[in-house]
Amino acid sequence: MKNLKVFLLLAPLAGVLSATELDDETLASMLATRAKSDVLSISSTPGIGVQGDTKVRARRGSVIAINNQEAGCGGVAIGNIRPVLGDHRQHKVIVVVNGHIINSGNDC
Amino acid sequence: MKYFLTLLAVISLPFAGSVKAEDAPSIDGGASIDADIEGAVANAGDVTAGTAVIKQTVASVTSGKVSGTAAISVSLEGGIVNAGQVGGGKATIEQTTGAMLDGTVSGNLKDSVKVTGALVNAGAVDSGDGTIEQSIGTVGNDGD
Repeated sequence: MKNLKVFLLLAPLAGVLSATELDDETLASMLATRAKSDVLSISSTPGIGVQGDTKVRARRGSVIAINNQEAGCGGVAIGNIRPVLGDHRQHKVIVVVNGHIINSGNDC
Repeated sequence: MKYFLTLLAVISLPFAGSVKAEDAPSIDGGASIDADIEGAVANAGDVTAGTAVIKQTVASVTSGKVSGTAAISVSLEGGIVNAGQVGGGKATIEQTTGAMLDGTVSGNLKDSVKVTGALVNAGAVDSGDGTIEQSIGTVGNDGD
């Protein structure tokens, strides 16, 4: 059973590694579906609620909104600045992501 | 997977000196990291007991000092995946791309990351203690 879980967890990984045959949109959809499946298989994690436009996404059946409902806590940091670090005078951070951002099933 | 990473010579100079390998680098002047990656970046772990730290850091500053300005530029065409299975013990599975986790920069800091593809951070923690984190284009870390 455990080996099966590992396989399922890493299955999207194998898909990504063969990304040369898949366009990004298809790849992202596959990963999102896989992550959604993983999240839904974990029933004991309390949700963090649905806020703002994620409600709209939830009504539309978006896998991203569903993931936000199910995930226990956030494990992804994108473009954040924590100003305590260092003494640099000015920050400029630009992050562009063309694809889904999925955080699922983490227990922090 | 085609992987192309360019570091300006100014970054490599301190490593050529007499400093010990475990010392944090000190760069006298500016520093730049420019990474152009075609393909996926993946970090995965399977921990059943004991303590494990599984880290992947791509085109990032993890420590040290830069006296001038610092620039990080990453272009990645493919997905970024960080995945972990924890069945016991204590596991930390971290993935960082285009970030400055620690260290100091005396001048300005510019961090630019472009990803074409999905970002996936997924964990399955059955028992034990598992932390699965992914940072993209961030400055600083949770410990600050």
